[in-house]
Amino acid sequence: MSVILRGEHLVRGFGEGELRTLALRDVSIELEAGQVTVLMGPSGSGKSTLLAILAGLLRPDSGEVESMGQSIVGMNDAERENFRRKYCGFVFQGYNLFPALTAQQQVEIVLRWGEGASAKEATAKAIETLTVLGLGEKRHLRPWQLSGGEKQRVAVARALVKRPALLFADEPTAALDWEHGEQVVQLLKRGAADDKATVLIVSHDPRVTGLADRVLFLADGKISTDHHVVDGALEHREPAKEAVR
Amino acid sequence: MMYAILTILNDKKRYIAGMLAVTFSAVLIAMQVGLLMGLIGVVSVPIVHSKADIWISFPDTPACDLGRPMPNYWLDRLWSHPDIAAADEFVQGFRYWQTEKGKNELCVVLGVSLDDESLGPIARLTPEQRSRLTEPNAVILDAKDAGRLDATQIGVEGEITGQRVRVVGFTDQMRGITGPFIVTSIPTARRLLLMRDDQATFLLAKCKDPARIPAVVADLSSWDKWTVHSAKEFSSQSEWHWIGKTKAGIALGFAAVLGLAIGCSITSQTLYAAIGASIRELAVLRALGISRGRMVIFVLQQSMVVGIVGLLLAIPITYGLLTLVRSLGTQAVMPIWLITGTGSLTLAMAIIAGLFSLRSLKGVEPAELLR
Ligand SMILES: Nc1ncnc2c1ncn2[C@@H]1O[C@H](COP(=O)(O)OP(=O)(O)OP(=O)(O)O)[C@@H](O)[C@H]1O
Ligand SMILES: [Mg+2]
Repeated sequence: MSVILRGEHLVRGFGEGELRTLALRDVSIELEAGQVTVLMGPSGSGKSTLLAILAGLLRPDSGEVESMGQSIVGMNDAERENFRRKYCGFVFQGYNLFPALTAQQQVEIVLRWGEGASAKEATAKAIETLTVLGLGEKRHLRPWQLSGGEKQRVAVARALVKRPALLFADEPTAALDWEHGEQVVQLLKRGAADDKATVLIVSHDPRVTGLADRVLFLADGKISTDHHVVDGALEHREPAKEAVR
Repeated sequence: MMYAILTILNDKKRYIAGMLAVTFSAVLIAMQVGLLMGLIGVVSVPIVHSKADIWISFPDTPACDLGRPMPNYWLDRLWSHPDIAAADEFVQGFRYWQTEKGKNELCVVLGVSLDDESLGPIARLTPEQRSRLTEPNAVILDAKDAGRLDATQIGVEGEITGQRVRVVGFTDQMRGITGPFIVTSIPTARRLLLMRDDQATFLLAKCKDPARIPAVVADLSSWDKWTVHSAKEFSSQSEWHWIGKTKAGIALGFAAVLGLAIGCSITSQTLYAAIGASIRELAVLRALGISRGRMVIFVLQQSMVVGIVGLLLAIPITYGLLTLVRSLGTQAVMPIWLITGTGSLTLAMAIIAGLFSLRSLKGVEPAELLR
């Protein structure tokens, strides 16, 4: 399988002097095309930091990130923005939906503002994506009229509508109950599979792992273990030595 | 624009403060300027009520109530000018009016030709009043000044320069800012103002063809040192002179700047808070690669909508105040340039407020907000 995103020797700290904490200490990671990788680990272990760096939202103090064949660490802000617009979709823990906009508009705005798509084109794509996620009927509702699970599905639609090659989700299920959490992850996985996207989900929710192709554990700023998932069970990953280094 | 409008509609309460701030600034500026211009407008009352379209004055006379005696030997030359249909003279000056009760009031004495061809400011006088003014020392006052001069009835007398003058009638819309107007004949005015027969304060002329006015002004200007104004120019020059002289312009500018500053800060605070409330949503869009520039447009669109709604609210309020002020007897004007000027100024203010609120976008950092 081909590696589509590779982070090497990533180090990132926060704060100055005595207050300085190292969120990542020398992390190397490879994501394979079309796979769903779940990044687990205790709170404060650096998962969000790693995701932000791999997605081009944050710069590492040192280390390299090669994504879609490009080095994104050296890019300037505008270039990274461009890169994210072309290739990256995001789902975050909160729903982060504009209270004033309908489900459909939340999705459309990504295309209208991001790609300057016409109203017609954006509407067609938004409806299509929302329908796939089972929200076709609810597309005219505003966030306060939607349940938590529905809101997170709108957020997923917003991430998927431009059919990104890379999909990043940071604790997408944290605010949802088991059933809805699983549903959202299923949809993420299915949506990504339709587009052959590579998915990285951060979660310290062990229930998500059953749906992953691969699970990584991050502890104390380092990747500690690397597992394939076979029939819902974790299996130690053989080439871990190479991947984790 | 749609997202901006939807956002504002969804959270009207939040934006209403900004809109009202725009309304406040607009009404403040429009009413202040309108009132001042209305007030200052009376400066050019003699010009407004005269048929003359050219005014000739002592060199560099800044306003039509500040003329100085000049020789009137030009009158014949004016009459014989091919472009001029009629010429006339006008006598004006300041004098104290001693009322019957012994009070002294500074007045403006206006000496006007009384015949039908007169170019003097006689528009408010009836033919009958004009014929009564031919009597020596007969005067006409604006009815609104009558009380101030203790001359509320026809036949009452006052004293100017030691001479008795008698009120033979009352008129209206003949008031200045400097003092009550005392309208009289040219010979009486000369006597009261101690002016010789070969002197006048202004020479007036009417052109055969209004289109030739600028050319005639230029031609007459070349004759001698006297300043030649077109009536229109002279009236606005007089008004601006008084705006400057009274420092009203400064007071006005100050109030306008204050109004704009208050409006701007409230509007920008409103927008700042509103953007702050959507900061996480915007951060998601940033993560998805949407530029900060696009968000700047979003904020500025909001500020424009706030500005436009605020201005729309200002229209009926200004109109209502204008009606009220006029019913109270105060002059206030609302020319088109004032309406469009106020509109553009406050809209610009709203957009500048939007620019100030842009610092709220600094916080839109996905890596910070969405951990
Ligand atoms: N902007 C920041 N300023 C200071 N410290 C930070 C910042 N971002 C992260 N950290 C620190 O870096 C460490 C890792 O943070 P991170 O958010 O990556 O953890 P996490 O694994 O996502 O935790 P959680 O599961 O609770 O979300 C933490 O100790 C955190 O306090
Ligand atoms: Mg986190």
